[in-house]
Amino acid sequence: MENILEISGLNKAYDGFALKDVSFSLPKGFIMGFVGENGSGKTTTIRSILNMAKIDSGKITVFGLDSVSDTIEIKERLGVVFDSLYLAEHLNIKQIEQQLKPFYKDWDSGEFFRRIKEFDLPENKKVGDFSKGMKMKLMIAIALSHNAELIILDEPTSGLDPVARDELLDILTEYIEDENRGVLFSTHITADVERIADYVTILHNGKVWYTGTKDELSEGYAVIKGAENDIPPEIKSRLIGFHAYRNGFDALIKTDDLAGIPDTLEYEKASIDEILVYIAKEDKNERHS
Amino acid sequence: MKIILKNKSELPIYEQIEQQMKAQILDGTVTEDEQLPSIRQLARDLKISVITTTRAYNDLAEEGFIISVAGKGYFVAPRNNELLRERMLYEMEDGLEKAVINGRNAGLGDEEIVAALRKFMEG
Amino acid sequence: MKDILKVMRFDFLTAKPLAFRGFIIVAVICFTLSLFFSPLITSYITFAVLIFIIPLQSVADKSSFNKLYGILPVKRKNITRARFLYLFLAYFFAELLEAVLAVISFNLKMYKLLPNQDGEAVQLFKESFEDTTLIYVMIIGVFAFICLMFSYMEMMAQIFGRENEMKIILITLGVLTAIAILLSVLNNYDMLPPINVPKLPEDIGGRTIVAVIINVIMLGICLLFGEITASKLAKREL
Repeated sequence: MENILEISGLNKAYDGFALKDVSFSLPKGFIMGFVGENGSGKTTTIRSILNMAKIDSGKITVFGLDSVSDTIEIKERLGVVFDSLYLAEHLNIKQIEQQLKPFYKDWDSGEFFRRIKEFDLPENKKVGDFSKGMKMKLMIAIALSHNAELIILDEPTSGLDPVARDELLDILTEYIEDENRGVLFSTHITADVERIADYVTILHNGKVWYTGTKDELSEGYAVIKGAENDIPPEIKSRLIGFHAYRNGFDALIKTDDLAGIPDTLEYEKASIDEILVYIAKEDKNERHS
Repeated sequence: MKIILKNKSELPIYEQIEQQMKAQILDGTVTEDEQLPSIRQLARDLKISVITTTRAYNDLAEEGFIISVAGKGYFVAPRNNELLRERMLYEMEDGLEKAVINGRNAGLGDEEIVAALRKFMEG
Repeated sequence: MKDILKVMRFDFLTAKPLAFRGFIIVAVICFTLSLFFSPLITSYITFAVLIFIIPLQSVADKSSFNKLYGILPVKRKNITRARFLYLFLAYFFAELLEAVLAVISFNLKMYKLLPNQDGEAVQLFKESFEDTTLIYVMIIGVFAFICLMFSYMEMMAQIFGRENEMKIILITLGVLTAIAILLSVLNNYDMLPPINVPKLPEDIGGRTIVAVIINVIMLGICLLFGEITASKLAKREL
């Protein structure tokens, strides 16, 4: 399977924060959810892909092209949605279209205004006065109008109402109907990813905690609960984010480790949200011990 | 073809798709040789991941409910297939067996189990 | 070069809705006044052109253009270069416009329509319609001064940050004042070598050549400042 995005051994250090050996890849035709708590390094990774941040080491390829030396060609074919609008706020949609048009070889004005209509965006209103959801849709319309083959979204849903979030999922599943495309979707609202993502990469403290299909992730982990005394000692060390309270405990466990646990312990499938929570708890546990 | 997904269902989404497709194929809502939406269309319509629909279609094809025609897509398999009925029968027997075992484990007598079954069938 | 043109067009379209009306109003007022009182007044149009330039940076900051610069398929350096070429062209355009308007105003000599032709005021206006050299020097002088000063300011602000702009202005003014004082002191004590200020050519051909030379020098300075800024900024992250 051909990868539309490939990151290998990415290192990038700032004061007090570093991406450490980040590697993952997104095959063509799929949506990847890129999750992790705030400050886990999602935005820095995206800035590295866009060559906005200068990487210390490692290699990033997009469409098989190098992210540093071929950055211009990559950007021709790339659509990006940020958490905030990157356009002059006093302009309206028509003026914005005029501004952006010459930058892209494949710009299609007809397609742009079709999308604007479809998304119900007013053409003559200043874009600065748009709601958050409208701004997000405008950025998507721009990406779709230059025929972007990969769309990268950096926290597009934070601060969005449920209706706008649902519309975004609609747009993305429509977009990915073309199997030559790809989507990298960074968010800390995992419900968005839970449904439409084919792949998930979890970033934690600047490192990749998990990368692979979403199904393997959700089948690979369970939340286990019960009385602390019932945990066999050989399993206790494998629990992730162990948390004891007055009447029992809960923790995350790999489903592979479930064999041989006593019936007195209950377990159920873990959601991505729960996985993130237990990863954070595990951190805390390690700091305290 | 009508598919309704329940987010809060215990069943994974791909299994919900499989079950509903099977039911509609067996009761004739979708007729034989009818073309099914492509994997990507279905993913778009249901707003779910492509891998999920791929898995559902693969399972259905493996079980003989649908067939994949290279370059054209997926179609409902020919109906005369005795295999399908046999499989359903097998699954029914399997389920009944489990029900009986569970009932006995719970200390029910045979009469009580049959009564429970009858009540279940009457809905 | 194509990229630079695209970015310049982008900058122009950003500024246009904010600046166009104001610019036209100022230009019309300047021109109208110049018709009656003095062709020199047209040279103020250079200052009006500033409203095509000054809002650009605040818009860029407010609208997080650094993100836009991160996704546009254009080299970072060309974005910076475009800004300096844009600066030059804006002043160059003002200079051309002023020259044309000044010539019109000069030839119409509409001060003659004013009442009280023998009055002191009208006599003053009349004088300003007679000295073509002064008009010429004024238009080109204002152009060169503004162009030099603002492209320098742009360079310093982009390299050291807008928030330090006031500091930069003060330091620059301080240095200029110090140099001026030094020169005048040296001059007082006759320690400066005599400078032969070249005389302006009298004919139109000669003056045109001087004007072209000054413009080319300004273009060169703008491009140089642009290149210095671009190479500094290219090392930074967006």
